[in-house]
Amino acid sequence: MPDRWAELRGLIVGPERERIDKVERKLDDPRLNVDEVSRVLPEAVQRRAADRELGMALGPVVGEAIKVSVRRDPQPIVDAIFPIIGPAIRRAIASAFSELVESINTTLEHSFSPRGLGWRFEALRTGKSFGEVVLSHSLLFRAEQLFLIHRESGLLVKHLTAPGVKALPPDMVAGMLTAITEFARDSFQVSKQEGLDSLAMGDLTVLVEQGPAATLASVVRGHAPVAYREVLQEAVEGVQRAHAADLDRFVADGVPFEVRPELLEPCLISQLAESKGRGSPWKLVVAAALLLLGLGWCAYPKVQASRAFNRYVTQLREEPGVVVGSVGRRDGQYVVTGLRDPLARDPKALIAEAGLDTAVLVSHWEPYIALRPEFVLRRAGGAIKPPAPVTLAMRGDTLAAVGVASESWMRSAQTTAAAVAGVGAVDFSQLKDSVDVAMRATADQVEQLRVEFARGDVYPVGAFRSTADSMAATVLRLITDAGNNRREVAVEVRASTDSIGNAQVNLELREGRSRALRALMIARGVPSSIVTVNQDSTAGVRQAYLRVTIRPLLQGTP
Amino acid sequence: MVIQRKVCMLGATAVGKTSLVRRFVESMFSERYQATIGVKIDRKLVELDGMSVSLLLWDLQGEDDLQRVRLSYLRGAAGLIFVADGTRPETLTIARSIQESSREVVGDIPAILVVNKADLESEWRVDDESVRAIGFSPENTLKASAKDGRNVEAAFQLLVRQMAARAS
Repeated sequence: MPDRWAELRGLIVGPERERIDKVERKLDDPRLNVDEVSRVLPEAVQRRAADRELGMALGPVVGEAIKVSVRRDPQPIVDAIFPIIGPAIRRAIASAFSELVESINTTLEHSFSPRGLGWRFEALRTGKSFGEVVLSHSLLFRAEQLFLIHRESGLLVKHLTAPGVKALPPDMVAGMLTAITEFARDSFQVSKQEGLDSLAMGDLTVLVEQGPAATLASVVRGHAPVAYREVLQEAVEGVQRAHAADLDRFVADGVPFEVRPELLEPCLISQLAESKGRGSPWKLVVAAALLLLGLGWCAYPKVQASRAFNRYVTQLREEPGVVVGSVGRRDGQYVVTGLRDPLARDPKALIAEAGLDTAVLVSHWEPYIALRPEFVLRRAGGAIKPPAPVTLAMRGDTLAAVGVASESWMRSAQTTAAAVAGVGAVDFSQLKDSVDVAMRATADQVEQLRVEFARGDVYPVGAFRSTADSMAATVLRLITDAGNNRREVAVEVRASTDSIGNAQVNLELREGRSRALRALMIARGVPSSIVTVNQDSTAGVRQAYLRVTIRPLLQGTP
Repeated sequence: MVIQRKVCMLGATAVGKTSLVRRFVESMFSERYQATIGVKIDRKLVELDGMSVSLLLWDLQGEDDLQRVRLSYLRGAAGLIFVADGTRPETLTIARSIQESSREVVGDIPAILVVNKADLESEWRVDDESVRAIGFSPENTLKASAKDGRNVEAAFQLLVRQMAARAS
């Protein structure tokens, strides 16, 4: 019976059984599995190429395979990456070189500037490296605006600005900033938890810190240090802790709430060490003033001495009879050399006038003869020594004399003056002989005397005798002086009448009166040869008098 | 006190979303932003029952065959304004499609439909029935005109009223 059942089962399910056995054999035979998998594997991988799980599964395997391959024979890998390794190296070198150049530039700039020297001193003083000090001073930044934004909606919760910063409508900016974040997140397939960290444009950076419900964005000008990031992180965490419920309510009803100021204000840093330094320009001004004062204090005597020397030289150049040759400094002393006429002022006298210290001056003067008129005049006066009544003057190069002098002096002076340097000619025509002057004065006295007559009379009246005596004595003295000085004297007797009577009578009276006085002179010793008579037409006075003429004797006269 | 609310404007390309708001809102950003990042943000202050509401209007780039609305921009929105063009029935369909997609992001929030180009109503190819057919009730629908300004203020007022009703 069992056999019949077995036979029946074989008839009913025999074909299926065979297929099952065949499948079992396939499953139990690893060699057959490999063959099957190898047929479907490429297509399977291709189909799941976009699946990240496949990549994650294969990643470690491929990495290990590469390691094993490189250990076994690196050449195939080297060959494979050769086309890309060259450009990569070049790019890395270019980048490193660029950084190096920038670093050198920065170092040079900081090393040779006053500020750089100050930083070097600070590095020595504090024991920090120069690089650390430069970095600490270079990291200048200013947080200009702060946006606290509801993360999901982009609605603005709070906006702060630094003093003097003009801001666009912050709620719209906050919205757009959120939109940009969403755009970046969508575009680059980052997770929802990730957010925009920063936006950089030139020296402006928007640093963004994301919290679960709030985003804090700080608009920073300059280079913010890493520590500033931490300040933002702490702020956004603080807002989350303190205002979690407010933020939830805000998105539901849109009603604004007050953010605790101490949470955000630390983020709005407007000054750092460098800006403090900049905030005290008066210190620099005072330091500069003190420096200038010190320099002035030291330099003042030298400046004064220099100015005094310049004044001295200016005076020397203007001084007649002095020619300045060279001016300079040698061994800390002022030096001046030139020419000086002995008649010019002594340059030493000018030193005191200029306020110059004689100890700092060395001067050397060569004598010379100045041809300036005043010097020629002084030189000629010294040579001819004119008597007091004589005045000398220069007209062009002609020495002219005016006054009274003896003939002998004039002769001598004329010769001497012509030999004086600068005197081209001598003009003594205006000089009077002292003998002539004296004799003329005597003659003038005689001419003042008068012998008077009675009306119609030709004989003198009154004290005519004594007058006639004086007249004759003086004429005789003149005759003597003339004889001593090669001159001759001529005497003319003149007489006048009153206006009464006719002309003929008066003519006769004048002749008679002249003859009477001439006779009186001759009677008193005056040689008759030098006495002549003449008439005086002057009417109204009955008198007679003398006119004396003194003439030089002609050459050849004994 | 000014309440802030985020409102997104959605619709097909060239239905007049930007024109609709251009004359009625405070703008700071140019329309280039829509072409680049797909959104431009404007502000509209609405006074309603003694309450001031500052609407931050996210004017999203229109949807068409080539581009889809970036739904991530809808996050945090308190209200939506769908815009369709009365002369182009397909824009109603697109509005409906965007509305369905938007529910996945923002859920069921106050929304109104503005059928633009009311100044060309004689040329319209949509009617009340077709509007109802895509799920907007007549009380949430306004015929407006960006050209003559008809019902534009009313549309913002309507949305703010709905948002206020929802909040209370």
